[in-house]
Amino acid sequence: MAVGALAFAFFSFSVCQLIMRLNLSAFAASTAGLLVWFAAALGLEQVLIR
Amino acid sequence: MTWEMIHLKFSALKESRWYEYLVRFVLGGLATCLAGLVADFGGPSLGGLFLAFPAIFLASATLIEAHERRRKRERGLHGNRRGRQAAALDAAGATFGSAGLFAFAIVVWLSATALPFWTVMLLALTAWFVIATAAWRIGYFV
Repeated sequence: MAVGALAFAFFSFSVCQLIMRLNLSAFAASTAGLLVWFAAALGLEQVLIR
Repeated sequence: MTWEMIHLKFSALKESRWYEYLVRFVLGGLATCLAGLVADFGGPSLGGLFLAFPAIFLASATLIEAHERRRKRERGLHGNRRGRQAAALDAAGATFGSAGLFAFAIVVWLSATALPFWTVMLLALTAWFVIATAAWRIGYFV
């Protein structure tokens, strides 16, 4: 869950940036952000837990 | 320097329609079920990872954007920019909230085997509140 929380921080920060800098809609930015969440969550899980 | 107090705005509840709450509850429930299934097959560590899956955020941010756009359009304005700004602020707030979630997880991790369940939950929720509020305060002034 701690690793998931870090991934969530990456996710929400990137969603904020995508909306403000690229003018994406909330839905498009959140959907794109899910890729960031998966990459961060699975990557950090590999590095920090396994 | 001015301090903005956190306050409850009950009138905001009337702005959402019943099915918008239903969408949030269903997505939250599905995310919890998904975390349980992942824990069954991949172990509790991987299951815990999916407890922080942003399932509700997608619906919430989209609805916040739609609400702000609708409010502006009722006043004869376009509202697209305002809607996106509101969704971006929601995302910024979620970033601060994730610091609280991180603190919650760390407290449970360190104390779950040593203390009774409800004591652990009380400590973890306190940690979440303190850290999330502190992160929001720091972010507010940066």
